[in-house]
Amino acid sequence: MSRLTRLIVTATVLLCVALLGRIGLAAQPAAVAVTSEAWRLGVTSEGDAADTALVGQPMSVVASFRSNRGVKDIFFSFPSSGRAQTIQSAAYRLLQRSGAYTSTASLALEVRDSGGALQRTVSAAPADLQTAATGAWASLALAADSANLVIAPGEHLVVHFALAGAPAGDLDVRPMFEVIVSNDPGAGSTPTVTAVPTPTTTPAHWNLYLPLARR
Amino acid sequence: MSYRTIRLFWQVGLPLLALLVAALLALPAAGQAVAGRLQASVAAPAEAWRLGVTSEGDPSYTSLIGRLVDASASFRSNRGVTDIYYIFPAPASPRVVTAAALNIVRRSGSYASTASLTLEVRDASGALQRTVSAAPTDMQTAATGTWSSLALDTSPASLTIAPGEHLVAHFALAGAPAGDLDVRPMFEVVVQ
Repeated sequence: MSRLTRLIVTATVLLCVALLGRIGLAAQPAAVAVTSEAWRLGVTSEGDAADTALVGQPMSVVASFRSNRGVKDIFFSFPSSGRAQTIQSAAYRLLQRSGAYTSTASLALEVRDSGGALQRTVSAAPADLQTAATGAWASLALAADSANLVIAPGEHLVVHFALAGAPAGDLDVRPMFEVIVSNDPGAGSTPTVTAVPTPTTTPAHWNLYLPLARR
Repeated sequence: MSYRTIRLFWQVGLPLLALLVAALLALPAAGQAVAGRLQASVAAPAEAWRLGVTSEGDPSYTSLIGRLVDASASFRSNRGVTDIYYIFPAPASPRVVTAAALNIVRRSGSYASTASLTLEVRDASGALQRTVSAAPTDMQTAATGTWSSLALDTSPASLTIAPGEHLVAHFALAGAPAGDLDVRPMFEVVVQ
């Protein structure tokens, strides 16, 4: 076999093997894209936490919680997701507060099913809306059990404003919210969300030296 | 080196060399796959903001109370104010504007003077903090029916939105409210 023939055969074999290697890798299933979102828009519903309460209702940035609306419970419902989501963090900011209510008016983050039934309480403890600071963002501590931070398809996340007694007084609270969620099932809650740089790998370049010898 | 040795090398070494090359070519891709699995941890989300609230004359954040979110802004020259704001929902954590685009869905009428648009960061009371866009856009001459990029300021510090601040698209009349200019734009602002 001449030297040229050997070179051609060598190159051909190497290319075939390399091609087979790449095909094998390409056959591997693609990684599932992980996305995270910030939820800020929702619908205020007085007395009804079911999905149907959102029908025909416009969305807003700011919730409306008032103590004299004839109901003890008011919900700010976020749009449902078709994918399982895990809550990573939650924050609220009281834009405006006026009036008073003689008993407790609290706020909790909850997961409810399509009918409005409580599934999980996401927040670690209720926030007192009559004493919480206004005009600044405040974190909502999340439940320690990560199972409480999951929103399954068919469920939806709500902010639940609850009066301890009967509707009365003239308390009027206008809060806004930001809830960070992720569809990564392994994501746990984090007190602050920080950017994680995505490592990029560049293929190594190798110089191949084929030994050639005179016959 | 004898001919026999060289021949032995080609007969035995060649397959080994082929395997080595295949392994070397496969390793970076495998490494990337491993890195991808490790990278499943979630980072601060990059977002595209498209919804906001139109507020005539008031850029403070409390002007959003009781107002509905819309996918397009409403900028008209005869509303009794010289400034109209399309306010995006405020973030709870620091954000940086990385891109902005505008699509004028509809435009009618005219205004005798200049009607411009800028992207700005304002605090909760509505006071101007930073101008994000590099230059004002003339809303009477800008193209309609197509997405156009809004050039951003070259200083990175101008592109930040801190907690307590919010982003607005500011429609400004150079003169008094008059005419019948009616512009309905949509926006897409990408933040990281």
